[in-house]
Amino acid sequence: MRGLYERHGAMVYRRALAILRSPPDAEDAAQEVFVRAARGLDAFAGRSSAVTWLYQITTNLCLNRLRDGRRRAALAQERVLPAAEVAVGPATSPEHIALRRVLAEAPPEQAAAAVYVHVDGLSHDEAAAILGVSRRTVGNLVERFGRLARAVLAGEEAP
Amino acid sequence: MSDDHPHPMLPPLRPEGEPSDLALDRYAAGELEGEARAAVEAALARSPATLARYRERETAFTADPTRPERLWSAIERGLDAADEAAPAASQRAPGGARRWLRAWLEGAWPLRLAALGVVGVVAAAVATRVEAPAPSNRGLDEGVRVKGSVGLAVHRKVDGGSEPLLSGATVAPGEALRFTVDAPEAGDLMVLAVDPRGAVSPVYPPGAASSTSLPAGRDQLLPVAVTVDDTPGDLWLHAVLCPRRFGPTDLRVGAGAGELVLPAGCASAPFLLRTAAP
Repeated sequence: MRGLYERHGAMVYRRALAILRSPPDAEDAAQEVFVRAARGLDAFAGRSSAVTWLYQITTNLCLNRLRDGRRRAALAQERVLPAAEVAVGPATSPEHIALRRVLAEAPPEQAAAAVYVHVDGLSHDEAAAILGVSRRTVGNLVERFGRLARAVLAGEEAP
Repeated sequence: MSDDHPHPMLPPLRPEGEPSDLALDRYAAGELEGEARAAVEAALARSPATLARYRERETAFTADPTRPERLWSAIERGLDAADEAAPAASQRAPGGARRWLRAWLEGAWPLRLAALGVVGVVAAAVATRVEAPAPSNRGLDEGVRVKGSVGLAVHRKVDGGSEPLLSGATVAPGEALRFTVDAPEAGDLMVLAVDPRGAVSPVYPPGAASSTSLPAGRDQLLPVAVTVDDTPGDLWLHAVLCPRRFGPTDLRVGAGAGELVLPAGCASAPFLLRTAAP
């Protein structure tokens, strides 16, 4: 387990930070990812990429936390913080704050597709492979997520 | 920005041809071969921005030099806590949830379940359907949908163990599934399946008309296994946790099968499974 952590701990933390924004929350999520991974380690047994497997676990866990009712309230109050207030990372821009608001409201499959496309920069083909759906389905999910974004962010001005 | 960018306030899409984070992470882990590896190496060679992104992959993690060891200590505590908390939970095997889950992961799980005296295998998630209640405000508090952070994870049995599924995953008829639940506080739990027609089926407790108590805790393996039937289409699972006993008639399906309207004080976690045609 220690070996898995040493190889992939930075990656899991960075992904959790990109989705959750808060370094303490990202550490807490990364801890939980590896606890869950430890439970499924025997089962993993090289069935797929370890990186892809950990991406999936991290995505599921972080999206569940974003949907937490208490976090939704905090997201509604979230603002762009000065760089000194938050850790280094790509998740502090107005675009990512808006993204988290929409992710918290989105159905799980739309949210997962949006994370892979908008947070991880995956192509629709890559996202389709990791989600186990067709490329067209990913396109539909992202499109529906966009419609939800327009509804959720209505009235907020683009930066 | 790409033409198919869904909203101007969302982060820009990765420019075409630039490797994704996943590709860079898999490259760094030595998981890419052939054309995929060559594509990443070509991008690193031609694009200073991609090279900087590759080199900065660990920046956030090591910005606090104490973080790696602190996080590892937390992981060890989490593993220990999972072992220690399990005997306190109901219907747990001696030795804790980790050992119990590991036994399941290692196979022979129906026998293990029988030996532990827990509920047997449910034949199918849709074996016992109850009709979704007609829209009603009886006992419901409209607008109060989610409280707390209940979580639902689904695991698919594979050779030699199991693998976690992502919501939206496609499953095949005959596949065996099990569930773990995160409960932020003790309460009453039901896991329900809602098919595209809005028919609601109790998955856990299997075939029951009402919820069952669940202690607080994370990753609580439910003593039930489900075999996917041969009905193709989307199946939404909902783990519903309430502070008191409830049944399916206290809930109603919202605008879509992915939404449930819950009694006040309840929380839910949805999970989508797509069943492939046989």
